[in-house]
Amino acid sequence: MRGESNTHSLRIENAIALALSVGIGVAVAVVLMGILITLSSQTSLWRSVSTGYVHSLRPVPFRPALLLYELHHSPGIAAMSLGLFLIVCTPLARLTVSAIMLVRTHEYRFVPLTVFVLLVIAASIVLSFHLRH
Amino acid sequence: MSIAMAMIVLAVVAVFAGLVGSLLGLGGAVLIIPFLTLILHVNIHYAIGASIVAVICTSSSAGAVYARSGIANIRLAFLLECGAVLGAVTGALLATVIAARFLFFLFAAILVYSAASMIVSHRRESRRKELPTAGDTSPFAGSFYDVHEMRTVSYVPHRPLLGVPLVFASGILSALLGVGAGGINVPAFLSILHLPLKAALGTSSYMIGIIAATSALIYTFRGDVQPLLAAPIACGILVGARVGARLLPRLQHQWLNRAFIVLLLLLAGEMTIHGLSA
Repeated sequence: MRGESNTHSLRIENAIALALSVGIGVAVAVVLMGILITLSSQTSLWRSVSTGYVHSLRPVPFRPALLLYELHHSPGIAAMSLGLFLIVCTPLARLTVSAIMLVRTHEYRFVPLTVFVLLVIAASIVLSFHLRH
Repeated sequence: MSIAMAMIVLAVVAVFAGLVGSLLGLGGAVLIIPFLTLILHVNIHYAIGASIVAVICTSSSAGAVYARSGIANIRLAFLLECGAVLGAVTGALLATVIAARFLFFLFAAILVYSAASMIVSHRRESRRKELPTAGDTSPFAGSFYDVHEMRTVSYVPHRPLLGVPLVFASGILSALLGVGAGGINVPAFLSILHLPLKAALGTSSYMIGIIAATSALIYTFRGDVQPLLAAPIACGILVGARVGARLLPRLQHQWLNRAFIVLLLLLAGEMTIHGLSA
């Protein structure tokens, strides 16, 4: 029984580690691609970046809704934005994988905890939209 | 300065921040924010946005290693994350109504308290050979192989429910100040939950990604994450965090403890200066 529990435990931990490694790996690869595209296509002054303005004083906020617009006008910035968004989503992917693995290994007592955390995060997304408008 | 040069500088600093952050369970933001605001004169909102992404990178990268090796107690993290995310949402809401000066002083006071409690708990722990256990049946029991001590360390967290309000408070501060809150989590895990130092550092590092992601979503949709700033930091910090996570099991317990206390006190001083000038 104890051996079986340890095997389950290792399966959950390995799945979580895999989700984190793959998530962050893909996200950073996209970010790197964006950096390379940006560096190969432009040279701007640092001052404009530090104040949040690049490309003739046009603001470049990181908003997923603007990704398509950015993709057309500056693919480097769009790739970086997408990569950063994937980075932010990686812990959420980890939580989802945790919940699935907990169900698959019959460790039901932790499932409500992970679902609760996911719900609070979902509420925070809704809240952020509400705060913006 | 050209964008290429700025990105290289940011990436190099981020490697160092990631290394320190993953070793000390902090996330690295405590080094990134002062560097961006004080040296590069970056707007504080963009500095916080970039540092929150950096914290997620450190946590995800180091968390993968810590989860696989058992240094992070993932079951305890499931419980504590409930309080932490609630704190993060509360903090993001409070950010609009609380004065910055008050926050800086509050954070400095908490850091000094954390350093003092770490000194006390370190002395207490050095007096006993074995960590206290609450029985083998606890669902939060954990174990990991300590490469430096060449033995498996087994432990059972004491009063894990008491950790929930603590991480709620650290979640609030994390969202308000854009830091990983490891400065509060680690001392609390040591003194209240009685975790071994490496388990406390690993679990804190693993958890802070969720806390940061909750507030990062709010910062993200507000447009406070500047891609040209956050992107090189994310890449650099990932490398540093990976190296730090590999080093942690090999490092001496006392060295880590002292380094953490010194860092907490330096950070408290920095926050006080910020508070006075705010």
